[in-house]
Amino acid sequence: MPLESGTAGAMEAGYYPRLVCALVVALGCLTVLSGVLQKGELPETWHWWPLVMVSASAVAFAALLDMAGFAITLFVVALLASLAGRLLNIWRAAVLAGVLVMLNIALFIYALGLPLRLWPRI
Amino acid sequence: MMNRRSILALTASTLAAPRMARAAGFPEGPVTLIVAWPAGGGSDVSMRLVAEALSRRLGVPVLVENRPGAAGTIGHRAIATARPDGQTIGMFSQDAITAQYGNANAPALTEFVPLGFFGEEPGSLQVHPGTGITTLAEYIARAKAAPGKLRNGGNPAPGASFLYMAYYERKLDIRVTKVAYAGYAPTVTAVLSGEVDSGSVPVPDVIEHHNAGRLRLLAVSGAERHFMAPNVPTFRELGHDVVIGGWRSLAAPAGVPADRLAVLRENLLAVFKDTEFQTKARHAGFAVTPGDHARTAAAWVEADTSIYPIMDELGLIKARRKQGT
Amino acid sequence: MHDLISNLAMGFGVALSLQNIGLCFIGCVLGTAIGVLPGIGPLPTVAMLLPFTFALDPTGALIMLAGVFYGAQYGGSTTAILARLPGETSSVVTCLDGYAMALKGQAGTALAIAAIGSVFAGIATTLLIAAAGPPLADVALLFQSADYVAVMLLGLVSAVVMAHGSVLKALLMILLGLLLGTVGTDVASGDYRLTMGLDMLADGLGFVPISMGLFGLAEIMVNLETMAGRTAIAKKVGSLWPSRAVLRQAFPAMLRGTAIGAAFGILPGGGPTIAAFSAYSVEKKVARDPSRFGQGAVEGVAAPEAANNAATQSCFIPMLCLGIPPNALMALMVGAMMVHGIQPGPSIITKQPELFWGMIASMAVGNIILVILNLPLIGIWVKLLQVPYAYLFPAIIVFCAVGTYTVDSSTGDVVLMAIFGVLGYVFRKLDCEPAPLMLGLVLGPLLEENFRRAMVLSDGNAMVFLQRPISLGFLIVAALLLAAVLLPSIRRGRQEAFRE
Repeated sequence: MPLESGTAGAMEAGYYPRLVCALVVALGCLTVLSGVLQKGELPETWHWWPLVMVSASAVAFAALLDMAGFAITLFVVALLASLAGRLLNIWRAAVLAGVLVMLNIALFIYALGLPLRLWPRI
Repeated sequence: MMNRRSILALTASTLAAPRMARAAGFPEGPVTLIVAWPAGGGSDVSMRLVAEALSRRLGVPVLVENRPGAAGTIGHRAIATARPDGQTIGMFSQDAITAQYGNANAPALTEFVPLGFFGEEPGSLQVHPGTGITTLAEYIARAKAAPGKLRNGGNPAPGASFLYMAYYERKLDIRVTKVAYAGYAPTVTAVLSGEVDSGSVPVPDVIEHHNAGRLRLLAVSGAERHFMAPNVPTFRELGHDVVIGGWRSLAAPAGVPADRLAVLRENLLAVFKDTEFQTKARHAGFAVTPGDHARTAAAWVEADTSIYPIMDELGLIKARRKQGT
Repeated sequence: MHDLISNLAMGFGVALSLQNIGLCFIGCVLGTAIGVLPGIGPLPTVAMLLPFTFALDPTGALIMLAGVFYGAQYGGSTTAILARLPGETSSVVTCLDGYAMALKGQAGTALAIAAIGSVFAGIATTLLIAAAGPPLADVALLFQSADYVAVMLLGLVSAVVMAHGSVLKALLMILLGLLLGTVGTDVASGDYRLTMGLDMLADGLGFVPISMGLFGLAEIMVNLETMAGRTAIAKKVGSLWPSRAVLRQAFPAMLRGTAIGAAFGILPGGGPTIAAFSAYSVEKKVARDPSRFGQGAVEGVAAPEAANNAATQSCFIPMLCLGIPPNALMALMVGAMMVHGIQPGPSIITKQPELFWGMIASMAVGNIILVILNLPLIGIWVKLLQVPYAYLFPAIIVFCAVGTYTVDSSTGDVVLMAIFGVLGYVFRKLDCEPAPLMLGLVLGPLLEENFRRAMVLSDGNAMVFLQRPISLGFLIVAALLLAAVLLPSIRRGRQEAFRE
């Protein structure tokens, strides 16, 4: 169902988003034009591994938390995150993950008393 | 770790109250009280007072959890979908009733069971002094002389103060331009600055400004005068049959076992009836009118039947359209 | 003048009681702690603390709660400088030069300048409240919807000024932010907009998940690609205490930042945010060498931090003097007063002078406590940077995820953070700065709300923006500023075209 635009004196929900959209399109065209007219450098190359692993670790947090509880979730998140750098081997990463889990439990559950479930619901 | 003496004391206290309902192993650990509105507003303040008193009666912490968003829908849904074990309860106001018709994602009335009735908060009408309007009659005359010329600030539709004004318009046969503000605080500011001519927010939010002469309360749409503004007449006293306002009650998700419901209901009622609690609430601007779950259920049904036609007339019914309308 | 002194003396009499100093201290410590943590902001903290204040007298309770508010502003800059994590809107600006300074090994100086700027602004604004609170509060009532639109446009233009590089890209990022700001429930009609049927988007895109993604996660992604075992942050820490030369450089910036912050803080809505952005762009405009900005210019930390703290303090003016809360935090303070049986409003100064002046005096006391508390902490914060990056960045990611989750207990927000992390990486590759986008996102809903209301109130006549003197004034300043940025870049563009 499309949003109504309404009139300037009685705007409906669609008026302002369309206004902003029109401006985005107009400026976007200008940008493309200036990009074609001016010579510039090509964007730097992309590195996929950190991009994928860092976002995967955040998504893992969201996917696991309700099911696995705070402790296990954080362990997985920290493990995935430390692998993103390819700077640590798996054992060091696991130790780091363990330490981070404990620190976060101490901070968020004990010190701040957030209502988070620590272990999976049985 | 509980020592023997405190166990004894606990047993003694439970024996001393033999008529109180009991449920084995309930409440077990903290009870969560969900408030679908941001911290610091009237709903939050009132429920924090309730939580404090209730936790003293239940002997476990009662934690207020603010789950604001989407005009209350997010919080109301959190109550409705909580585990029905009695450990999670929530505040239920008429906004939960309007939401089910305005938003397909909001939970239906049948997903809740009533616990107890906290109190009512009537709507009121106030004007900027610069308008020169001093009485309700003058307001009505001005609105009739030029329909839509007077501007009234309030919630966006179908929020409480929007509905109050819509109801006033209907009953007084007037028409004003309703301007939306995101909450009572900005609405009051707009009335004070004269950006709008009038506002329809409840008495506690404007009483200090009324006393300071920065805005003028014209009338209160309660059955009786408001205790904080004893000099402001009701619509009824002025010859108009206009009674509309909000109320606050508590609810649990449907499906909570009966023995647990009984514990919650009895303790809540006892809290509401406590004179110390009432004094505290009064200081914060709330008139507590204790009611049991039957009174609560009646208020829900009453609001459901009276608000629906107003919303329907304004084209605000977007979900759960009733048969035959 | 005599009145002011005797009133302040009374205020300090209240604020310096042993109990109230203690409460102020607790508030400041808590505020600093939550300011450092992304996610848990002052709003839920005060809400959680409220029940514990029932046992206290109202003045003590409010002194403690106020301490949490301005304490959080001190802490907010810490993560922005150390890890490019802006936990709140106003520290987005501090990220730019603060983090650049940290990369150069000047994290200690940046943190110290932020703290000194904050305490200076805090005390100066407290004096302003004491001297001219009530008349200033009435200024807030002069502003109407049309004027707010003009103020926000000025704020958006200032984000163009602060961006280095292409003006066109900066404008586009602002518009993108405005567009993202339209996601959610339409204020006037209650319609869901661009929510893709997702309930979690019904309230719009949250600030924390987006800023954690665009700034924090994207920074990590970029750092990880360039280094094989190298550290992103310079190992050498440098001196913690800023040199006299640095202080002399930063002081005028603090002065200007304080003035800008105090002025914008009184206005409802995006006060501290607009103040921080404007203060930064003013510094960039008055600087002899604007190219230093973004590379670790000390004024780029001093001015926005002073502005943001001054604004936090001056938003107490309409709340205390009129009972009008200009933002959600002050609304909560009003709530706290009501729980304690005090009706906030204009009569509070005459009816409860001890409370009014005691609170004002406590702000001065609190700022001093905060600086005493924060300066030694800097040493500890800087030590954190010496942890090898291989260990540090997983901790930052976990911290971001948990912090984002705690805002609304929403796992959806964490996914949102991941999505914006990827987007932030793309923006980096395309040389687009995320700060203007954040400003657009934060101001967008306010801009739309006021724009629509102004148009309703004027019956659809857009001339209203030119007819109201306040609005006209701000629009002229905004137009001049935009022209000042656009003209050189157009000229440069033409020259380049000729050279081809």
